[in-house]
Amino acid sequence: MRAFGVAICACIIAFVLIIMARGTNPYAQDLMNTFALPSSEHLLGTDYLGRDIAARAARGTLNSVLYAAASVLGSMTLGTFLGISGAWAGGRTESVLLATTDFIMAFPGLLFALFVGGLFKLGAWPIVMSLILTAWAEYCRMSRAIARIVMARPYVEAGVICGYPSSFLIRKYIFPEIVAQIATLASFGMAKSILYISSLNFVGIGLTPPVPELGAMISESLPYIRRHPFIVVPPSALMSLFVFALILIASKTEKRSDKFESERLF
Amino acid sequence: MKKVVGILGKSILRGLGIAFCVSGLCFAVAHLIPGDVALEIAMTRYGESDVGIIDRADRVREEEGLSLPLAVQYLDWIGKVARLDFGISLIDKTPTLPVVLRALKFSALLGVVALGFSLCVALPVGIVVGLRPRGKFYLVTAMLSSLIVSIPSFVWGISLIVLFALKLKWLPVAGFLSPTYVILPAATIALTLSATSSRIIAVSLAETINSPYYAFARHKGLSELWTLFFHGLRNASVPVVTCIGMQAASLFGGTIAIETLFNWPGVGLLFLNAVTSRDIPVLQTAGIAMGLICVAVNTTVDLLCLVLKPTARLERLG
Repeated sequence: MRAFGVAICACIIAFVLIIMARGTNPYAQDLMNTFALPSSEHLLGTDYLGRDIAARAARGTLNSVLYAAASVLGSMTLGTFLGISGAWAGGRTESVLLATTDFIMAFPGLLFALFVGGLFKLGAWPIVMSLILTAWAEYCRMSRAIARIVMARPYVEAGVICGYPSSFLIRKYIFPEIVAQIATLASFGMAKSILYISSLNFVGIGLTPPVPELGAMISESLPYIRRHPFIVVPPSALMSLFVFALILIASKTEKRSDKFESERLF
Repeated sequence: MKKVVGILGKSILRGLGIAFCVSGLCFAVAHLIPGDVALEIAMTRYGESDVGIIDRADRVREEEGLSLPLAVQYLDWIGKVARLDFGISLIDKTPTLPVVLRALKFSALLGVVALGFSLCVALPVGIVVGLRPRGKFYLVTAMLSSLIVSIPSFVWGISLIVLFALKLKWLPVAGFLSPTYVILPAATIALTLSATSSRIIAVSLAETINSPYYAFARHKGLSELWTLFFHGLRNASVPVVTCIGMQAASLFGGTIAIETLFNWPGVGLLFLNAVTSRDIPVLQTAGIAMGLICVAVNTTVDLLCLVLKPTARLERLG
């Protein structure tokens, strides 16, 4: 399953690289040549402004992945750091942290991102920021729970008695236990971020128009869907395959304890 | 009983907290954003290329009290909300509460139909698959549901529109004029909902069937149906109820792309329009309403779980 997911990812990356290497300009318009069929010049045809769909889809995938990766990296770092520190500090700090995550997880992340991204009108970075601010809670809960379990083990206690500094204990004893679980969460988080970012771009919130993004490409081609239904296929297919691959990669490392994480995508 | 009171108390606190945070957040962000709010409102109200737009912006500033200090504006607003006066929309000057309630009604209609469709598919599929955890269908449906979830809901919506509205012409494309208009958006939402809930049903049923008490009930001679109905379903239903509750909460505002695509006058579309036109009072009212709905759904789920699972009554209140 996992190999299959990696294979799909590799195919998508290869596609993006090949198209980018061809050097077709994703912004170049050719109004005499709109809705062209696939040809050697335009591998997937052209859109309503005569722009090369393949080049735009490749650049769009790159953009989606970039922003999704940024949001996942941010929330993962923040969440893991806070989770481990919370577990290590214990007491009131920990319960305040838990209450905060509880609150944030009840908060609709997509609406928050829409709110922030729509009001700031500064491209995709406000959306990334707001996704980080809502998504860190999951990583925090997970890493805190694991850190608690590890901290109760005798060898950690022995480490404390030996007088090792806490940074050393956390790095050598606690962190390695967390990595696998966080990787699973991150893979799902990446899938979710890609879907969120492109949904927001689909409704017109996010990247500014000429910049290609998969969700925006789909919504741009909607008015022409009656005559040319197939121009929505390349961006939709790329996005769906990528998300599918990420879910496959994540499901392999899935353990009993977080069996339901995969079902929580929506 | 003590537990019920605890859950209710906690949810009231949480509701107040959410209302407070949402309103504060709306307020803070509205005044942090680059650009002049009064100018934006004037542009939405009177058109972008109006000549006297600067004067009109000044008039908007006076009318809406936007030149007062922030703290005064915020306290003023809180005081009004306490008297259930949610203010009037900055754009079309109608009271926000009826607008939001109307949108909520449409979202609820769409959500109920979508959940109904979804359960019609998910319950039979989930139960049939979950009863045979080692069967072929278990893996096949797992893959299938991952695949369905991977395809963004708006792409499903476009495909359904192309197929059923444009090619076959069975159903209307978008908007809301008669009850048939609800079918396509609801079916689109139901597709992704049923993919996840059928999985949850299958997994939790499979887990129940594999548990020792279930095997014991079978070994003491109870029939398969009796065991399933009187021993299995109740235990298996706890995660299912939680999942469906989460789905129900997400339908209020979480389906912006679908509501935009089908031009459905629900709360997601209202929120989107309010964001793009910077209509802060509408945003605040809608935000509070959605937060409260979220809390209400979570509370209902907590209480239902208490009824379904006796051991939950013993757990410490988190």
